[in-house]
Amino acid sequence: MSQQISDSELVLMKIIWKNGGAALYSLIMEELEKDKNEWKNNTVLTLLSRLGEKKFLKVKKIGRKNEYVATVTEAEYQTMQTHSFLDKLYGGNVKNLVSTLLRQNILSADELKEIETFWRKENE
Amino acid sequence: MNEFIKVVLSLSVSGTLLLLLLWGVKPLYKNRFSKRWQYYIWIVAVLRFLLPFTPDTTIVGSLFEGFDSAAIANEIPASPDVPVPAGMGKSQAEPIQTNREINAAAMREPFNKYICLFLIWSVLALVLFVRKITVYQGLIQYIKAGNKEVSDIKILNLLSDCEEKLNIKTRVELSYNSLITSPVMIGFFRPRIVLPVRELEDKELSYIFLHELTHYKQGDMFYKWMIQIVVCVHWFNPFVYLLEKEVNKSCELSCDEKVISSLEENARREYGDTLIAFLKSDNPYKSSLASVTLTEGAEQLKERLGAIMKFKKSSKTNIAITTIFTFVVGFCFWTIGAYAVPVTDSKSLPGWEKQAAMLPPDLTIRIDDAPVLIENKDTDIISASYNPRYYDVSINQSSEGEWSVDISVVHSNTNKSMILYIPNVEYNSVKLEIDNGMYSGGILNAKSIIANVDNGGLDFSLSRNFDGSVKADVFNSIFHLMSLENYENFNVEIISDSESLCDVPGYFEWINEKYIYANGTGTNLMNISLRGGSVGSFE
Repeated sequence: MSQQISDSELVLMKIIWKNGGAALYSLIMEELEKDKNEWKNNTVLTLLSRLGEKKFLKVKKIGRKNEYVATVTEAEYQTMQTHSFLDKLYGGNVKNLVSTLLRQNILSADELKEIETFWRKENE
Repeated sequence: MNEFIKVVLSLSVSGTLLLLLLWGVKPLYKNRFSKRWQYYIWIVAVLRFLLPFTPDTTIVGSLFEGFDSAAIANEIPASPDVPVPAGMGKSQAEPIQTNREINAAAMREPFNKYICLFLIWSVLALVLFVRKITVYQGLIQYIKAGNKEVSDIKILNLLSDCEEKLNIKTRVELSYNSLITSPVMIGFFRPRIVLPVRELEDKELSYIFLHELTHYKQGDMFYKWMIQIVVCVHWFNPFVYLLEKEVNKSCELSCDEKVISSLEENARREYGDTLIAFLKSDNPYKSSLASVTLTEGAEQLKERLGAIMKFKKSSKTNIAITTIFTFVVGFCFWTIGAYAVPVTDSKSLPGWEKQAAMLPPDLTIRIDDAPVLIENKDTDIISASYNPRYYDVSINQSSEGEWSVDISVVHSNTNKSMILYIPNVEYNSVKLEIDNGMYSGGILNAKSIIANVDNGGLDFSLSRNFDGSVKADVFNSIFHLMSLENYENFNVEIISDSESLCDVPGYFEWINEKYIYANGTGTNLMNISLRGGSVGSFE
């Protein structure tokens, strides 16, 4: 799945993930009303069907209502994105990524240590 | 002439007539009727180009029937051996020649010529159509290659608003494309608006959306492809390209009209500005491609802007005039007509069942006005092949088992003959009643043949081993009889107005105003009376 999810599509995906991976159209619209942007019906439908075409969503008919089911979990999507991000920018080399993070002070030495201990525990 | 070619040609002619009519009176309605009407009225011409449905008598229909007889007359030299009697119209004499010749030469030779024509026509039509499709697909692929989906919610919302305004239920996709310079809409069932990559104001965007969505709503893609079909079928007709041009032009005008009808005065000006902004010259794929773009060219844009400024809502009288005019056009559609392939109807009796008695059947044939070709068939079914538009045929069997055939003409404006198939059996008695008609061909075998011919023609042969009598009363007609056995065992008596009107075998003798001949047993009596300037010929 090499296709990208656009920012506005991601907003919809997040709502669906938050709802446990499946959501009715009406629920999505309710959630979107809280958003500062105004979302029109057709806009949402267009974005949902694009997600369907990209195979991130499946449409299930419940009576006359459509339920949108995510085919990937948020974690899977994050992994996918991380991989493609790594490949694109660091040629798949994690060390380069970490060193950039450290150099830019995005990652502190303490945090790095924390990750290290986490990693050891995982491998025991 | 090949029937199919004839249908296509007649459609071409009638379509062109209607097209020229509409085009000719355009100055009358151009500034009065709605652009929408001016756009859709071309459908009438399109249908005239495509549909071979037609009422019985039409201008083009009869034109093409005349075509037929003219072609036959050209192809066939008049055969000199059938004399045309004085005082008899040529129209009655002609069918014999034509019919005979059709069966002989005319069927074979020109047949190939028309097959050739048909092949050239169909191959070119097909090639053209396939080319149009591939070019269109090429355009789609070209556009799709550079497509980037528009995910800006603001723009998507604008599109959504326009869809709601026009009450469009289908979801319309939206994408950017760096390869195009003017907005375009592609797709039949899953429409997609493609925008060029450039800064567009919200106002501009909504006018673009309204325009393209209106195209979709008007069903312009289908209309344009229908025109493409007309162009492919009638590729040889230069007028179809005029039709294509007119439809494309009125399509945009109609679309503009629809869009601005919901706009305020100053919004109309803005709409015009948007059109000018997209007047482009460097689009690699241009017009005629049956996709719908925003603008097509400077010349046309001028007309469109003029129409936008002059726009006013239709008055009631205008609507009334439009309605009347539409009916007139519809009436023209109907009366111009086309040539339709004649239906061949076939009527038959279940046949003379070989009943216990096994009696030889009686047969009566009555012909009024019609030229009828007779053919023998090795079945026991009597049948006719004819076009019910011209002939009325009834075949009956009486309770006594007698067959009777009545043939008359419904519509005399034809040179086409009909064929009656009679079983190859030995009849008891045969009665032939011919009034103004023509009975020609076939072999008869019967105990007795009685014929009455008035102002017409009778031509048949007597079978081998003929054992019976022939009696004919012929008035002002052509009579031709052939014996396959040189009148063996016949006792012949032919009364005629004059010796010169008869063409008989050398062994017939002219005595006391009649031909006499006796041979063998002389049991087959033959009495022929030729009156009123009738012409007889015996072989």
